[in-house]
Amino acid sequence: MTAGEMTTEVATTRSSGLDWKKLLIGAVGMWLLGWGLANLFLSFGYYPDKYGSKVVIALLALVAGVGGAAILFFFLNMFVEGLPDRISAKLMPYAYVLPGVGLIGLMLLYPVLQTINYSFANEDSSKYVGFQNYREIFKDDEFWQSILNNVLWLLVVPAVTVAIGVVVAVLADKLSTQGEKVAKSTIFVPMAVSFVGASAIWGLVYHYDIGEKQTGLLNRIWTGLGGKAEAWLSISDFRLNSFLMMVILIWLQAGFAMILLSSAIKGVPEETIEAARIDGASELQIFWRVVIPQIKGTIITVFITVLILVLKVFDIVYVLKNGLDKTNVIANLFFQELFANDQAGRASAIVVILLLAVTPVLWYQVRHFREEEANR
Amino acid sequence: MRVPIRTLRRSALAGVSVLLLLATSGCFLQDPETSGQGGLGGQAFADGGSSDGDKKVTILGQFGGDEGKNFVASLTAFEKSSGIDIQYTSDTDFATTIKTRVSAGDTPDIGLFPQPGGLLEMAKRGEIQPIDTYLDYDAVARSLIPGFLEAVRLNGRVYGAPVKMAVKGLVWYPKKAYDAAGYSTEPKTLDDLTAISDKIKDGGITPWCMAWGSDQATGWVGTDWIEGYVLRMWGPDVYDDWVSHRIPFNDKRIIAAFDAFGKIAKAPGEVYGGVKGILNTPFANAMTPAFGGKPKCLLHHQADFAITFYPKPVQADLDNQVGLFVFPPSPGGYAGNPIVGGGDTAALFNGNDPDAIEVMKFLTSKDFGKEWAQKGGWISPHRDFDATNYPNETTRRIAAIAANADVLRFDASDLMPKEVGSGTFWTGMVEWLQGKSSRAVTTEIENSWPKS
Amino acid sequence: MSVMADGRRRSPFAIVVMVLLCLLWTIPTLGLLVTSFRTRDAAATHGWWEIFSSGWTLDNYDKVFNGNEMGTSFLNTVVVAVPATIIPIMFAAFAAYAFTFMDFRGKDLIFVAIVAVMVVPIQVAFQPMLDLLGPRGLGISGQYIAVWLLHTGFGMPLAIYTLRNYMSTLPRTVIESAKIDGATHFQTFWRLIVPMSVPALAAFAILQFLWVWNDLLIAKLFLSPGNSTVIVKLQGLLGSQGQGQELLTAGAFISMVIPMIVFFTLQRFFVRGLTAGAVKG
Repeated sequence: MTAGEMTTEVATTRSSGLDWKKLLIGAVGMWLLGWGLANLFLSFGYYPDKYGSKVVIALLALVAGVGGAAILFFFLNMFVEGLPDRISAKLMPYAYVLPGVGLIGLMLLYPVLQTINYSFANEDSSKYVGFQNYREIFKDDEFWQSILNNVLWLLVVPAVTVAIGVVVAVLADKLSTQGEKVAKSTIFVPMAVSFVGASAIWGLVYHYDIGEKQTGLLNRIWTGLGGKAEAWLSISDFRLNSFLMMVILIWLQAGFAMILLSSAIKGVPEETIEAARIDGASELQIFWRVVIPQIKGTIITVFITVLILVLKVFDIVYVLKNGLDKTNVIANLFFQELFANDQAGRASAIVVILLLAVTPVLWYQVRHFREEEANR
Repeated sequence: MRVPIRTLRRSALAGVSVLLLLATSGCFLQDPETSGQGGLGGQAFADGGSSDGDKKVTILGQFGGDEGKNFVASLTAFEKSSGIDIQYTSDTDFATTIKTRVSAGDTPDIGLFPQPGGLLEMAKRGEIQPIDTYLDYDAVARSLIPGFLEAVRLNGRVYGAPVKMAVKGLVWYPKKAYDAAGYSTEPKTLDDLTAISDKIKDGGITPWCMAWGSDQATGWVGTDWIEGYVLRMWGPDVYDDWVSHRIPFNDKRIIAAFDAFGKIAKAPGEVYGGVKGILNTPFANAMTPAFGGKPKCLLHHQADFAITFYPKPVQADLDNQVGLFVFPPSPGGYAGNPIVGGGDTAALFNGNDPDAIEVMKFLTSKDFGKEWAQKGGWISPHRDFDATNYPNETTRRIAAIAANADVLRFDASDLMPKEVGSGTFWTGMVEWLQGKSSRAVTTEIENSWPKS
Repeated sequence: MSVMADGRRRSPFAIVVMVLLCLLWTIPTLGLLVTSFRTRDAAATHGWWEIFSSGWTLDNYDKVFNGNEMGTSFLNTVVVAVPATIIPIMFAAFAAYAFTFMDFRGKDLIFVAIVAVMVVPIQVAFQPMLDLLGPRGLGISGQYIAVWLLHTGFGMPLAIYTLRNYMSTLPRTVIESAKIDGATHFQTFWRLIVPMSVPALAAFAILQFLWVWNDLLIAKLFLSPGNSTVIVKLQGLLGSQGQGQELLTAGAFISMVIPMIVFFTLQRFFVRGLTAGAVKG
């Protein structure tokens, strides 16, 4: 039985048609809420003095914002429940999806469609040029260089990040509560580092000094082991500089993987593990045969999220190298074209290529999605 | 056929927002400040910025940190006397931010452009008020060091005036070590300079301190050098032709300038740390090895702001610790004494606001900047600025050098189109240093010059 | 083999590996922390591990706090970050519920679109959003609400995606029995699904909070100077040639304090013992 049949069945057992009262309260409530919130916020901007202090505005804004969103759903739900049951059951999913998906549509989907449109236009989007932008991009060595680098990033970062995330989540689980807290906080810390902080931190690690004395950590260790000091991020042999930048992203993102995976591992019922233990399975066997299958869904989620993040990787490459020494990646190329070169057309075309590149992921995701539905 | 996609999209979006507004019109609070037009009442070319005549003026600029504080401090007295409240915002990524905000109609009243290129782009779009409509042009032109207004001229009209000057092409040296060894402090030509550096080498020291590291902007230090060579080897006319692309970037004279610089930058033994050192040391730390017990290098080519990066004890005793001379003229090149300068230019977005005009008048006068000058790190672009305000002899000397130069030319990379000036020219310098030939690099830059 | 307080066996392997990983993860940050207590001159001439031979200073912290209105910008950042964390979670949880437990036309298509737009660099949306929220549109640009809307929109795809994937692991029988008992979707959502999804909600809350807290681009473009956040203020510490770089090390640490507090507060959801019962409903 699918969920749809389910709802209609339940709905028909509770008879009723159109409920004017609910409909009216819902509609008026939503309108009043919107009007009130809008005016409240405008008044913050126009008459800040009337509120006395900034703290008052801040508190009011907090309460109004969070409370407003919650009450919005309350009224929205009431409005839809007020409709005749058949329509209500059909409409309810859309009502739940609408606020979120509506914002996505406005803020992401609409700009994407516009970007696709611009990718066929010239540099200031005043004239259509057909596939000109795509031809130019494909002829550009820098583009292929970036593709190669992006592929490297895609092969390395998601896999390593997930692996570290799983290892931390599983092993920390075996520590004492106190140990677990400390370990997880440590791995998490980089997540709290702003981007400015991260580049400063790794600048201190990869730093190169002329002369004998090295103030960069890596060079200090390297020379300590008898090596010669190197300008690490300038070494493009075997794409060493790209790999060193990948380390930074993995360092930043392992905490993310750990958090999601850890919350999944907490969901693995203790009984299944105990049962395996009683059957005489070793810890390693339990890990592979009991834990991993149960958190597979989350592993895929984390993997795909990091994968998508890597497709967009930009900040690190921009600040540390700006694509010099064969380190360019697609997203940095996009930024260079859009802001440095004022080439809206070519920049748009690059985004479209990114979108096309993600299609295999989408296809996999939908298949996985369907499988899940079927298995339940 | 011309399809104005952008306009279409704009109007569609505007339509949606108007609908949204109409649907609720009369229900929302109105901005109490938008009523009433003041000042020129619609005569102006540019009408961006906040509301007019409300005694509030917004400024967006690149000065942050101590610079930002000093900038604000030098406005305080003016704010008090005029009753105008100036709200200053700093943004290190000025170029991108101003473009995005202007496109959305969210302009400040006044923008302080670090590069004339960005200012002219806005002027072309009709966003900026030409200064002759609200300033006494002749008086301003007389007071300023010549060359600044030319940098922001478009179709005969000038669109901004400088508020801060940078003097480029200075050669710094650690005074004690340098004087003790008795090297010449006044080279007359580039040949004299070469003689000095040869002598330094004989003394067992690498002559030049050089560092280009500047995150995503690495390469700009090199462009300053090239500009110096072009101006000195071929004179201001060729320099102007080069900047405005009347001669190609890979003209043989430009290639010659690259090659001349190559004799220092690319030659073994001339620069401390070699190519690897140049590219991987932050430019701010370039001269650090020159100080201390035994200097590793002696000569450092950098603009006046280099002083803000010297070690604390050196800064505290600047006049006795550091010496400087101007990068000398080229033998057989331009006969005069030219200098490359730069600076931040104020431009008016809101031509209708009498308050903003008041502020512009003050910013572009010789009276602006006393407080900033006293704190150091700032030089007035006005010849008649009271030099007693500068905190040390070194700064006074730099100001005099700029005021007495035969010719001042604005930093070429700031004038060139952005694709080149802060794009391929920078990256090209890095590739050139790493071994590419002058011809190959200049040709690559030439190919990247925007077509239209 | 020794036994821990809660009766589980101690795992030496886990202890060794975790200690190693933790060291690797901490050392780079430790370098920054140490450097934030040093002058620019000292940092340029000595490695941070030589801290004891080159002296300490509190100057960097002093300069960051003095005259930069850090208090106001901290307050601003909290006002920006808290609703910009809770609102998207609320919106996304409702949407994820619909995607997991309800059937409707276009479900697959909408979900695919959501995953697809995750790769879009948000920079492409700035111009249209400035048009819509700025003076030519709704005129709310500069206010907190503009930034909440933007963070809600930009954070939404990842939120829906992770929450839906988590909710799909919840036992379906619980929801079905609730329906048979006559509970509406609204009741099922608040009484069953939200409590059962707490670990995932908390995980996402942390991520979204961090992203908003450390965001520079949106805050810079869409908040008026009086409302600007800590990260924007930090960037403003730099001079036009990058003077004051040494202050960033101190600034980076100051800006880390509140995210860490949030993490410690929510951490109990990821630590053994407290959530094990809740998840199984």
